[in-house]
Amino acid sequence: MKKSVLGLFISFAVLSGLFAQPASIPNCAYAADESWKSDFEKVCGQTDNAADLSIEELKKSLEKCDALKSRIEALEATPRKIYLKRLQMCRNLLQFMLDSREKKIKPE
Amino acid sequence: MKRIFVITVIILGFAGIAFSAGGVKKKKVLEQDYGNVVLDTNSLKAGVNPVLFEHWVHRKAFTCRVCHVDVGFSMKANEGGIRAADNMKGYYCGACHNGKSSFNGGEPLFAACSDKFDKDDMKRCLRCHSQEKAGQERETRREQREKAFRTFADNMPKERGGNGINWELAEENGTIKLIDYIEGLSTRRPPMTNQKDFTIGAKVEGVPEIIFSHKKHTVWNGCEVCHPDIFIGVKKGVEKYSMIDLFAGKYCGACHGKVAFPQSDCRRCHTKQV
Amino acid sequence: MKHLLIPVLLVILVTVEASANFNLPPLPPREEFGNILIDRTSEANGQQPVNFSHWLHRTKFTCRVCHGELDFLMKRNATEITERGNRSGKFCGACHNGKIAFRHNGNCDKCHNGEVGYSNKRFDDFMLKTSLPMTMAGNGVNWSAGISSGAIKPQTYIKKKSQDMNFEKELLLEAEMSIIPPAIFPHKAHAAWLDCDNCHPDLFNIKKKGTHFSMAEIMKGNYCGVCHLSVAFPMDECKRCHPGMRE
Repeated sequence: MKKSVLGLFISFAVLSGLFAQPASIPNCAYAADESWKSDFEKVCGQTDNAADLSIEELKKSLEKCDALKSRIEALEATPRKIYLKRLQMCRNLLQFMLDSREKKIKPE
Repeated sequence: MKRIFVITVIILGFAGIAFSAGGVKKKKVLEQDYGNVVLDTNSLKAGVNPVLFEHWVHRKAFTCRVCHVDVGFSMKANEGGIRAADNMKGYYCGACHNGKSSFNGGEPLFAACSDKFDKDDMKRCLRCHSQEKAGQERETRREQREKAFRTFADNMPKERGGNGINWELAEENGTIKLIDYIEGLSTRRPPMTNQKDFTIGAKVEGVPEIIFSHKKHTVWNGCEVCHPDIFIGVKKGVEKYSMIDLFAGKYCGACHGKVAFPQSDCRRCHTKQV
Repeated sequence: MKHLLIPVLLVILVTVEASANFNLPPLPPREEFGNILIDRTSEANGQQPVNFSHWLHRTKFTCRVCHGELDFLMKRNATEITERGNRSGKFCGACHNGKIAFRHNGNCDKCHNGEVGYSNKRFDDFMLKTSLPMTMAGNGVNWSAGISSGAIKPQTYIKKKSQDMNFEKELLLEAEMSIIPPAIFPHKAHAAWLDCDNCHPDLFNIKKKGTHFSMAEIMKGNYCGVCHLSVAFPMDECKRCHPGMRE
């Protein structure tokens, strides 16, 4: 009895694994359907209001950028090319904000 | 031998002086051509015309931010290395030119690039890969582009220089409505921090000061477009940007003179009353 | 002796080059000064070249109108003027449209006549009617003084106004030879006729350490020579730029 239940359970698990559909991929290649992308958006979506962030928040965001870099480098050629550039722009802007906040350079 | 060499050099030197033309004015870019960029990462090598990208067609509906931040286009031609494969995968041009996306209630945009080269496809290819060498086709295409531009520009507020269109005013009074966020493509962003206007002094005495408005620029651009690549930040009170640099395409000249209004009307920026 | 040959040749070359500076080109009669024949495509299309008279137009419009607002280049035959363009209001057609001035109306030979002196007769009539301050060379007219005195009131724009800078800086330009007094460049007198971008930066790139505007270059048609050879007062009157010069 136990064996057949176990066997049923295993076959159910295998079958559901085989037939499981990934989350429907939207038409657009840029849509945030993967975890690295949503992390990227959370960090780099701050560029337009980086002036409102505290020094601590800026430093944390920079760390997150650096952590994202290796994840993006593992991507396929085209998204890798694009997102490395976007990450670079984002990181540079946050660094710029931090430098000006720490009075290393004075923005206008 | 040495003497002959020296004489040749001297003669060539004089010839060089004779031919140097120092003061000839450059030919002006026509209004419909202003902001056009020729892209040729691989086109000629692949046997197609280079791409002629027209900024006016795009900036009348989208902010600079959508393309130069969200889609990831570089601010310099050919720097990004856009390939047909990228477009077909839905990146770069293909992010919108995918046969499905439509904006402002219009038709779906034609798809960019193809790996087939049959007759119908070629027609689509030539919509962008249109920078032909001289010839009748080039003239026809030029006339089409001029007509399309005129039809649009006649309804826009006018200004001198560049496209002859006051884009700033057109956006302010709602003549054009810019799309700044595309679902599934753009990064969600909280609203932008307010930046104040500030004055930049001129180096030459007698020239009025500039009142720089961040607000006018952030309507179109994201912060990362300019900072820090174009503007690293200025110590207050020091005029660091010389017009020579600007005319050569640095600082403000990265956009103003290529896509945004040119630097020919000094009072457009040097607005503060003396 | 042999090795003196090259230095001697060089000295001769340099002297010839230097003296070429002051071989001023012969001037046309005053009523014809500033007139040009435009023939970019006229003769190729079976038409006579167009005669254009600068003095006739500068009494009515400042330089910035045609060379700024209307995009005429300052080099003969370089502007892509076509009949179609004119008829649709570009270039000449911006004024020659029947509203500001005569339009295309079967009167082709009013312009396409190949006669550079076509408007000469009108010059004397004009001079009689208007009391313009006189000068020695060119048209014999001090046009700048004519604006200041109000004798002529040329328009500064047709449709799109440009903004005035009111920049009045005067530049002291040292001459190549110490016996020649320096030239004085007045921005104010030029700004009455021109916009900043008519000269800057294409003709005069504003450099920190002054570029030397040598007479050789000017005589070739560069820098000041773009205008002050055949349209604005010519180089024959040294005193107008080098006020300390003795005759």
